[in-house]
Amino acid sequence: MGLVLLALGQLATVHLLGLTRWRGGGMGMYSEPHPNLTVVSIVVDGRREVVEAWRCERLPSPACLRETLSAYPHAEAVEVRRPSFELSSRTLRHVRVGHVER
Amino acid sequence: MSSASLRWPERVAVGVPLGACAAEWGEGPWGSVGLFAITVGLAAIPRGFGAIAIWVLVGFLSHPLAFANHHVVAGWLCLSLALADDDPGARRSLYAAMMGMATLQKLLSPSFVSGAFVGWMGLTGEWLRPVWTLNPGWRETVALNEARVAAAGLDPVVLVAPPGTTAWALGFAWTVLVVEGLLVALALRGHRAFLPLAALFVGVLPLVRYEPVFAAVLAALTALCAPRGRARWALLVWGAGCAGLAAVR
Repeated sequence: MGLVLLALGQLATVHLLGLTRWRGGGMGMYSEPHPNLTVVSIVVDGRREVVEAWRCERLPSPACLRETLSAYPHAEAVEVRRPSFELSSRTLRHVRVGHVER
Repeated sequence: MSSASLRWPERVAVGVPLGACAAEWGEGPWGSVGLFAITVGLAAIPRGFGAIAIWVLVGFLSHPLAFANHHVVAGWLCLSLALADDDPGARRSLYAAMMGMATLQKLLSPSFVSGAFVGWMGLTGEWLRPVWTLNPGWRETVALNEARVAAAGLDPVVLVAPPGTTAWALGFAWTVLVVEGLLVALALRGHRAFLPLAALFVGVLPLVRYEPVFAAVLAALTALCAPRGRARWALLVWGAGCAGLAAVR
């Protein structure tokens, strides 16, 4: 029962806040791409630079993104992109799932 | 409580996969210390599973975003063993709850039910590695796709896909869903077909995706769903072997 309650709570967080299914005790491994493939980048003069922000990879909350942005004073914005593969067109895209501007 | 106690060789065999989890938590030599301490500790202390469950809970609460799901499975297994020692019925309930949630997550994931996730994992060589490395055509496809993905960065990229990829990926994804759903139903009913299917599932798992520590923990859980006997020992040995593979890597 405890496992199911924790997992349902995690599932709600996945759908409401964008938590990766791979974390939070919801048994969602191998249901979507691993969070290590999520890319967090800052925008400087209109160009993207990939940065290390593993918490934002897993839960791209506005608070996490603002914290990351504050660590890069020269950046205009920070964004999180997750891989999304379309089978019919065989196209891999990195879809933006979080974004905060200064 | 009607459950019997696990004997010390069984506790050691279950302790090896749990120790492999500890080896992942610890950095450098601390990983080996964790593996050794858990394996030997469980042999000496029958109620050691409760202590490990508390340790896992503290780790999960302090670093929920860093904590891998197979470590959570290890924690639930320890809690279950602490509350109902050697009770295959309790283990089957845990298995059903865990596999039920894993199946629900896949059903609610658009990329899984559409076959996109499976197709992408197959085309980039993340799944069925022991199979595709033996197939020259598939090997070439994977190499081409790896190069394209690396060159594209964050830009969209079209992957190389042999004819029939869509049907293959959809079929594979829905086979996984059906098998996992069947395992849940059989575990809940205590059906005699549960154990052979669960054993086959955990036996094939490392071929589909090379995750030896997860396979080791699942093998230990599956083993304890079985009554004492050869089937349980075969699964315990398989679990310990998977944990050993992780150590070799």
